[in-house]
Amino acid sequence: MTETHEMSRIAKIALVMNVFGTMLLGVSMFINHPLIFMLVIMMGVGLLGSAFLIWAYMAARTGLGIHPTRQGPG
Amino acid sequence: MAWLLAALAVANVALIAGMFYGWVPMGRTGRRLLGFVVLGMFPLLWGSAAFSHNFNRIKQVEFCATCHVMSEHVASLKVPDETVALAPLHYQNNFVPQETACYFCHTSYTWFGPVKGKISGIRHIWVYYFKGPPDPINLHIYDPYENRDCLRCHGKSKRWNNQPVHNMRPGLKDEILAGTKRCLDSGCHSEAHLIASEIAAAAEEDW
Repeated sequence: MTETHEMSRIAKIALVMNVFGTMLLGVSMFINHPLIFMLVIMMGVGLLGSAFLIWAYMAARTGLGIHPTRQGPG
Repeated sequence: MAWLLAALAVANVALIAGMFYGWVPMGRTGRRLLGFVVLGMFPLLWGSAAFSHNFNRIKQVEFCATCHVMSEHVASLKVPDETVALAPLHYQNNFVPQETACYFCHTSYTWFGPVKGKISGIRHIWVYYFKGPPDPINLHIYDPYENRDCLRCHGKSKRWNNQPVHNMRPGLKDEILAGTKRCLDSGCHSEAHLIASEIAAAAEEDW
């Protein structure tokens, strides 16, 4: 697998985590059962936070010029 | 607020779907900009707002009352004679914010007080599911109630300082301020909550 494909896969994982994290955190605002609320908010924050960290990692790689599209043909 | 945040969440999911399936044709810069918004800014801003909304929501007395173990204690805030115990006295006279009365009194007035309050909430769930539901009538807090949580309001008040009982012997006030003489456990203000069945029992005894 080339690095470009790997980055694309990571980006997709971040997007999926973002969607599920958003949905869970969104749903948690309407849950009144303490246990379910706690579980949902923990998973939501975890997924959304992880999605953000993955994005920050990708942005840092791009910013530092490690991204393969910025590298020369050699 | 919850519905606005929910609408923003739906918008974000729609943007991600559009980006993922390429519904709107865009170049590399457009995709990066969209990625910056949905993956960078959205989790940070919307996530913080949703988290903050939830934390404010769980401070409400209604949320505490969703656990049926607490129902007697929440009901005790609204007993007709508010002078029978501290909780209805403070609640009914608005000495504490009525919407967040439980949180206000049961969160330590320290730097990490709110964090400890949340950890206590998780502990409630642990106790309920792994040690068995406690008896709603005989609930006890995990640690003795700290004087500083009373004194954050009362400590500097002229009425409290001039109260003859608080000055009945030299050094008593210092003991109260230091927390060695407890407000609630020393027989002075022992009735924090008086639940309906206890009031009925007391009335029967009086009769």
